[in-house]
Amino acid sequence: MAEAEVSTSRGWFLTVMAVLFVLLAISDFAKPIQFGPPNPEAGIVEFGHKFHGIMPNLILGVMFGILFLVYAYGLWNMRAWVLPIAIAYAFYVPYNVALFNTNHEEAAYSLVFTVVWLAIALTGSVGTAIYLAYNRQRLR
Amino acid sequence: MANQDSRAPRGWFLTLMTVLFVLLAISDFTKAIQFAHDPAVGGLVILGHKFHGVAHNLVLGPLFGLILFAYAFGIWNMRTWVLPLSIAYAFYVPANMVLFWSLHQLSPPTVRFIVIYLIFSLTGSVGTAIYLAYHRARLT
Repeated sequence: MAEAEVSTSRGWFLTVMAVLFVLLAISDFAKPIQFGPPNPEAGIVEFGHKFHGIMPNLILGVMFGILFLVYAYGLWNMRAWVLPIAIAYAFYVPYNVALFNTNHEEAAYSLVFTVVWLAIALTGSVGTAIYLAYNRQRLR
Repeated sequence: MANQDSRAPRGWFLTLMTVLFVLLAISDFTKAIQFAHDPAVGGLVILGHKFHGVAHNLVLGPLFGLILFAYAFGIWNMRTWVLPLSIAYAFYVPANMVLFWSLHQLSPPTVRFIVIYLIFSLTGSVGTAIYLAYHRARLT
């Protein structure tokens, strides 16, 4: 009876996150296009390292794009298997950002940009994992 | 009966985290001494800003030390109110790290140092929050 009362609805937070992860997936799929003469500074950043060149961006962009689509699918459908992905991602994002920031060029990003970026990145990674862990009984 | 079952033990992970938070609190209480001993290395870092001067560290060190003591107390006794504190701390630690490395143009530490530091800091912050959220039924 108590189990039946547990809501399995996604709620607005996970809906927004699922949409953002789809957008992130599209962005990752488009990494090789983003990288090029008009924007040579673009490139996918993984484990703190920015990858230059079309081939690394093509391979890693597609790989991480698929991963984000899977993550978004899991969130959208409230699947139990999404929790380990969320936890791994919650550790990966701060790790990636911190490692990247230790090596970035001087004054690469403004303080406002860094704060806004951090708010979105940490909400999407750490926030989603905590939310899912807290509401794990709603996953199926 | 169900209530008794929900009062599960703390477990090794939270016990270890409590000990580490107590050590961190002691470290914060002694920030002023650390700074006086070696101003180049010592000094409390809050929201990416490193505080110089013994007076700043004398005031802010114990303040943050008390918060960490409260956090450790809450985890040790498995209190419900510790969950919001852990969530705030899970966001604060990565933000603090990234802002620190963004605002200060320091010679980057070795990758080994960063990775070990990240493992400890992210496990203590993000890991503890996720763990507590997952086991929230055990909090009283």
